[in-house]
Amino acid sequence: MISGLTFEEVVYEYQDRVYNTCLGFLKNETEAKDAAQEVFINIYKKVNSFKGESSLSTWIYRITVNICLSELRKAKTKKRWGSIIGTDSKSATQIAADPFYHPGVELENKERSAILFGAIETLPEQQKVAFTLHKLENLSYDEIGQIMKKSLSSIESLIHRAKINLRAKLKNYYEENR
Amino acid sequence: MKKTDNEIEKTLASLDNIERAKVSKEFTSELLQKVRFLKGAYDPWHNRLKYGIAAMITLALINGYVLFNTDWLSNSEETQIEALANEWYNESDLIEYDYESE
Repeated sequence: MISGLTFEEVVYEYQDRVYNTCLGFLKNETEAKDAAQEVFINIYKKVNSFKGESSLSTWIYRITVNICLSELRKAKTKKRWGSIIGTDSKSATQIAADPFYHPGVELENKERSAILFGAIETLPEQQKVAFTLHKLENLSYDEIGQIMKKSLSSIESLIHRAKINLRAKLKNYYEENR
Repeated sequence: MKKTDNEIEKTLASLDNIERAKVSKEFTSELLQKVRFLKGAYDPWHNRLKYGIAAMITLALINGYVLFNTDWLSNSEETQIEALANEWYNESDLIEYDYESE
């Protein structure tokens, strides 16, 4: 039992949130599915370590973010070994090199969102986490703060800087692709 | 320039009102199957059965070892007794009784 819910109830309640978050970070349906399953297996194994100090959803989002970041780091290391060009050095044109179309985006926004996802990928880790949770899961700054164990002002600052960075990256992209 | 700025703002807003992606139908059953397997590995009764079987095998091996060694011991005992008997028979000074001298 976790917060009065059985494990199966937790799965049914949170599976879409976990999967959607994983998809936002990993941008690949198969990888997102595997990561989401890993999240629930971790929850099953670590259920005794949940003391109820934070809410269940905060705890689950925290595990989700950690697993996704770990997957991204693994992929980044793999890429670095495979090629000299790292993900951080993605140029403006490379933003749309491998477009990701999220299934929940309205049709008229598909192309623009793919460009935005490409730009988000190039953000520093903390900004990426805060911005993704805010945009994809529609979480409040306060909830994001609890997940990332940061103050409200830190989250405000992270999202503000993320937007500044994204504007700059998108400007380069649109100027190069005019 | 204004057009680019406009496009940037539209792109930044492209994830507004995004709908949550849903898991496939197989997701839950696959996951629960994995957890059931995991549960088996963590189940103390599963472990008891495992340890029980291991104990039975160990006991059977010990039993076999003891039986084999007892057999060997008894064989060697027999050999030793036989050797002793032969030795006694060959080397003992049998009293030769001269009946005729009486």
